[in-house]
Amino acid sequence: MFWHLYKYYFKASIRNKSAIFWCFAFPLILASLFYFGFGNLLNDSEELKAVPVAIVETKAAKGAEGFKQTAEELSKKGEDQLLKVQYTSLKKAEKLLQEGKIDGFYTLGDNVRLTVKENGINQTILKEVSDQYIQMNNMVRQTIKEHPEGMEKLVKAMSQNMVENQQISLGNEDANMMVQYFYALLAMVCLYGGFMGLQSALHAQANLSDIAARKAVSPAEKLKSTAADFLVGVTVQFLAFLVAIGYMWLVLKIDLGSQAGFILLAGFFGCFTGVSIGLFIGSIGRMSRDTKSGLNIGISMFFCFFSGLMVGNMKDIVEKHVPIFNRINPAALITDCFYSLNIYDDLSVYFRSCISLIIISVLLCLGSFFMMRRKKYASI
Amino acid sequence: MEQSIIEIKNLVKRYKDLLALDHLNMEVRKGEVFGLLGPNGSGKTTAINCILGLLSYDKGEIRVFGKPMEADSYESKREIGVVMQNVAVFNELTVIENIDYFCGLYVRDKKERKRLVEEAVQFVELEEFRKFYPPKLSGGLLRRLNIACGIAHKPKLIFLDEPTVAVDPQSRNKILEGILELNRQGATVVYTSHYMEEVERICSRILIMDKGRPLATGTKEELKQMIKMGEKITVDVSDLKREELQAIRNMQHVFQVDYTDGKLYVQCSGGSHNLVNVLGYLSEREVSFGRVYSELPTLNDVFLEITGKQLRD
Repeated sequence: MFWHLYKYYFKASIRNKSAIFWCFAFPLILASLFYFGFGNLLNDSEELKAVPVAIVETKAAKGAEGFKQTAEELSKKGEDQLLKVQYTSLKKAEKLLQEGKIDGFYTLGDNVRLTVKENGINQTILKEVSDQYIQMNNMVRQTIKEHPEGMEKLVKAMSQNMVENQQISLGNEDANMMVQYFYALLAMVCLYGGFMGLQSALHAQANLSDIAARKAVSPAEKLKSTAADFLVGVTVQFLAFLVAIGYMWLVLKIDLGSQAGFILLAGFFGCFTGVSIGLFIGSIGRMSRDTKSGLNIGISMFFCFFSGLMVGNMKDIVEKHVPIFNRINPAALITDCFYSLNIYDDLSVYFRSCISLIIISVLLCLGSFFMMRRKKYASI
Repeated sequence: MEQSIIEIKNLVKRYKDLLALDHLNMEVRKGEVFGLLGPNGSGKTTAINCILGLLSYDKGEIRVFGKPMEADSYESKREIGVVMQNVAVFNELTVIENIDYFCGLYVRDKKERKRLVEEAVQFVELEEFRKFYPPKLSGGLLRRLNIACGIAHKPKLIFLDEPTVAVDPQSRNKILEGILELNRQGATVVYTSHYMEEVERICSRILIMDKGRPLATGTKEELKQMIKMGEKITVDVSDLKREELQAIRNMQHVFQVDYTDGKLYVQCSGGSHNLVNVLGYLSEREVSFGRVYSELPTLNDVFLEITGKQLRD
């Protein structure tokens, strides 16, 4: 009976024009809008350019002589060129920064101080360079003081480390800031599975739909019937995910990373979670179908907003102030999966996010079945 | 004694302050077409939903096929077919797919199901509409699809809850004929309606309900015998004097006479020559009269006499 129910509900679902639009067509429209909206940004950032920076020397700059050497090393022309350095006065550096001709300037005194005007990836690179220099400088001083015999070894190790940092600082796949919007969009596709989950819940409660009433008077077990509808929801939503990611990959030519298997697996777990959210909302109380539908959309968009669908760095802001929310926000967990595949060498963040998604889904499903288990209704 | 398929004893159901079923007692016997007759809101659908295990109730006992009816009485449910008041089908599945889907809730064997679905399509005469989607069907055809979805698995007990609402006369006739055919094939039928003509036409026994209370039960003949009125005579008369009206009122078997808007209404409690007597008197008094009607009591008259209001109030 399970596969009989699955077959027909799958047919009914993929013929539902409204569901098809929201699950399949709408994400494609949004992806196209993102693509044309970002246009040049996507192309420009394909190749990383050297970060324009000024160095201002003060009277006490002797203590930071090593930093000048480091900066020169990083400014050497070639594929690995990270900085484009010019030496200026403080006044001129401030003017250049104001005019946007440089992304920041270092003031060399007893130590190295970075001044930037705004936040961004270039500013992060500049900060990373100065932080590493300060850290290494401290290590050298300490080594000279405590273990002068190991100095040669340390210098060798540090120079190698600096080169490696230069190469991998932006990840193995040259992650693109704008790609994060597409990650958030894919998370939205997954959470739109809520539509399907909601339908499954409505088809399981005789007080909410005529079809559910008809099923309730038949010998079909509610758990089996709802499970079939739920699985259809996951299937249809995963198909929608495949269409969306296929469109981004093949038509828009967006580089979402090379680990296709893991990306699809994360998408599957995301769809599972999306359908579970809809099932849960559909099982709550005696709210009308329209109220539940509105609630489902509202919750999905709330999660997507905080994963960076509308504001790119929103997830970072949340991470700074309420990190726990990023651990339980399904949309953030889905984007974390994609992001971690693109950025990190190891898969620990990816697996942690996947496990969180599975736990959330299981809890929501259990909650849904607990609420729907009631056998008789007070009114229909 | 005929076997009881459904037994209900003292069933009480409340919706907050509203008493929807007030100590309902009911018995449906094997092989009969049992009618639940009452105006909208009289508790017919509530009674059916309680019997089917969909609604909880406050008091009473329900037994179907001799067993208590619960939400998980799967064995009993396998033998029951339900045609809900609202059309419950998938708009995205064709006629044949809808019937197969709902039949599949009862019948697992594919071959057997295919045969049953085909029979159901023929039964409701939807052969030409197999590939149609429900939104493309007329109201009457949609109702027929709704019936096919409820009865395709050949149940022994069928509930039909107002299946002819908003249906054209042609489809209504087909539906009623179909119900009688199901009954002839051996199914026991519980039929609810507020259309007394339908109930009178197809039901072998009838329970009249109002405000959740059972008012009377019996065959239509038994119900009509319960009331005083045996015959209702209507005569178009242009002018009638007070003494002539009084004379008619004094005739044997006549218990009520009214004269309004040029029409004389005479209600008689029995006797076989009431019409002849009334017309004979009018001729004798040289009172000219036009059209004459004589009607036997209907279930509406039964309802009117019991409750003091029309069935369709």
